[in-house]
Amino acid sequence: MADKISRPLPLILLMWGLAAIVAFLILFPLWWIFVSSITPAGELFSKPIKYWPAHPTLDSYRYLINNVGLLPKITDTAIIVGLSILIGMIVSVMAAFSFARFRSRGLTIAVGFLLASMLIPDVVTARPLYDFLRSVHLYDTYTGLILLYISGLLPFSILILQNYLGDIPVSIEESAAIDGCGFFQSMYYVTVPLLRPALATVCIVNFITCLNNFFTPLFYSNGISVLSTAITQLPLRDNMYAVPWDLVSAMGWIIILPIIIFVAVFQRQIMEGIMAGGVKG
Amino acid sequence: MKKFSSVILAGFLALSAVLAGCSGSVSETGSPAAGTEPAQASGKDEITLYTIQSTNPNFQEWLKETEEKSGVKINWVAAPTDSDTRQQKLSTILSSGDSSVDILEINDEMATSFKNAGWLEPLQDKVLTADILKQLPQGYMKDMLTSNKGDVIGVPTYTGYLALWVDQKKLDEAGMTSIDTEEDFVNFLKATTKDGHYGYGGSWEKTYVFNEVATFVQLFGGDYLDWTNENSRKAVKFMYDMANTWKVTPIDQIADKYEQMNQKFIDGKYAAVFMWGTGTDYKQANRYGPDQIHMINMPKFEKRSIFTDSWSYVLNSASKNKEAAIKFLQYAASEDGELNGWKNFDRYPARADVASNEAVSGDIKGIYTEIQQTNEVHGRPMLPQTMEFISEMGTLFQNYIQDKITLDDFCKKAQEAVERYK
Repeated sequence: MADKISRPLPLILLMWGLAAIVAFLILFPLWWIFVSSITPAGELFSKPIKYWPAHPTLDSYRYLINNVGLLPKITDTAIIVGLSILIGMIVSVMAAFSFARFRSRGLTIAVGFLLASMLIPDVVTARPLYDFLRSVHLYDTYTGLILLYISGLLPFSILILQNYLGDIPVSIEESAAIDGCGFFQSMYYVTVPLLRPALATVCIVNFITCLNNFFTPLFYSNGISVLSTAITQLPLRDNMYAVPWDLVSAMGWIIILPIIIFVAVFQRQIMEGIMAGGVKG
Repeated sequence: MKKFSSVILAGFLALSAVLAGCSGSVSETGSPAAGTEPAQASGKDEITLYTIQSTNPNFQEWLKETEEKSGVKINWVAAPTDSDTRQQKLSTILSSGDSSVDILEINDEMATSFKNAGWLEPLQDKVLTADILKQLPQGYMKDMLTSNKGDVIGVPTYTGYLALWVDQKKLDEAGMTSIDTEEDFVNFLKATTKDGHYGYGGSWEKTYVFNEVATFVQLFGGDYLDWTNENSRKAVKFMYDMANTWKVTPIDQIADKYEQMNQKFIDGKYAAVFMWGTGTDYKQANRYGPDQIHMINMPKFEKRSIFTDSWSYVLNSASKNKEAAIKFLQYAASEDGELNGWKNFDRYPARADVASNEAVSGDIKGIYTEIQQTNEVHGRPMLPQTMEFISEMGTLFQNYIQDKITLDDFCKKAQEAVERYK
């Protein structure tokens, strides 16, 4: 506290100035997308540039709800993202625990394969996976999509959780065992609570990854449509080159909003996770 | 412990198996989705349509009328309107022999890529019979929708010209009443270039400029795929002169796409542009009308020539519902089908006889009819690797316009690109 008080005024002003610049750089595009989303199509490219539309309207949002099927897409997104994160997290914790606590050549190879899979671009596996999903009747199904989403989330989640678990002393679990905890009781009551900051961090990253995932729902489904692909289904105006920027902006804002809310709600846990990781390192 | 772990593992495996079994999917319409059973299984005439129109406010009305009049139940799947995304997706569906989609709505770029691949069913025998075919723009049908084998593979859903639009106020200021010839065109551009305003505005971004280069090549009677042709050279030299010699168009438009070009046109910076569509942007900006911005006939250079684009319905060769799909296509190609598209989607009928129907009205009809009757109507010259070719040609053109290469270099390299992508 004494440190803060002793800071000279110019330094404080400099810090606030830098913070304001960074905030502006981050927030201005969001503001501009929002303004574009409430600007009538005819005013979008008017000159001089208007930073607030002369006739603000929610028509773009109404259009998305009435004609683009926004609500079913939100439902589809919630189902797929929610289940993918939940199941992915359970599997990740168990896998990370086994990789962190047990040693064998098989496990080392498994970890290697898992991490190597992060290096393979989606497009390389797209066609064989497309044929495979069709042959097992998982193409264009919630199950198929959720499995693909989870498979995309696992390597990163396991990597982070495994590193974090490595810093938690085994003696805590041994103490729990001496006190009569079974394996899963120990996991549930001792290990998972200690993992909470890392889980929060992984959770938010996975949430953003899932919401932004464009390739998987585009390629492996037709009827099931999520928010990220909906932006490609907006109507063309007048000719094939006429992009409806007002609708694109509204849809962009709808995709961004859950991420902003999620980060705002879990901000403390995310920071704790990052801080805790830093201290342990 | 091991036993307990095994039980948990087995539980997870069971859960996975249950999830895998829950493979019922839902299409946008709530009907059985693509990728499951063929539509014929229901015992009715039923197809799955892959369409870009599903987000149009009048789509449901169009669908209802189409189902009633064609007698075919239509399940639909929303296609991406973004061209790259759509092309990837459709290439996968067609090349994999996927039968989950029967009818696809494709644009010119996709028609060029797919028409010789054997993925699309010929339509000349059952759908585009001679009496219908003769009503469609011959040049366009030949250039865009006819395969190497001579099969017609698509039913065009509309006609949309890349036409010349002028600002009437500037035409009046120039003391001209029409732009009928190459000489008129150049005079008009020169007369209206002053005070930072230009006679001609272009969209010369490296992929967009293709439309204008090809248009001038056509007007000069050249061949976009033959750069040894003297008239093709004349066309790009003409564009070079517009930018560098007469300075009637700004060279910095090499960064402009249609959004930027249209805004400048609306703002009065340009007197004339080539543009697709029916002027929606100008209407939205209250700049549309006979005394403001409006479409005129193409001036005659070596000839009058214009490009049209369209979206076309094509039949997937792997379809298991070909009979129903043919019924749908017959309806789409019929007078009723074209009028349905006009009524609900503002799509100007591709068939000349339907376009002359009194149900088709409005200020665009007069000029469209004049263009149809006086111009050669073509599809744009495209090669199978459409976007790569367009992009390379655009880069070459930009280099030429900026004096980085000579006209001879441009023509030589353009011909090499044609040979490479052919």
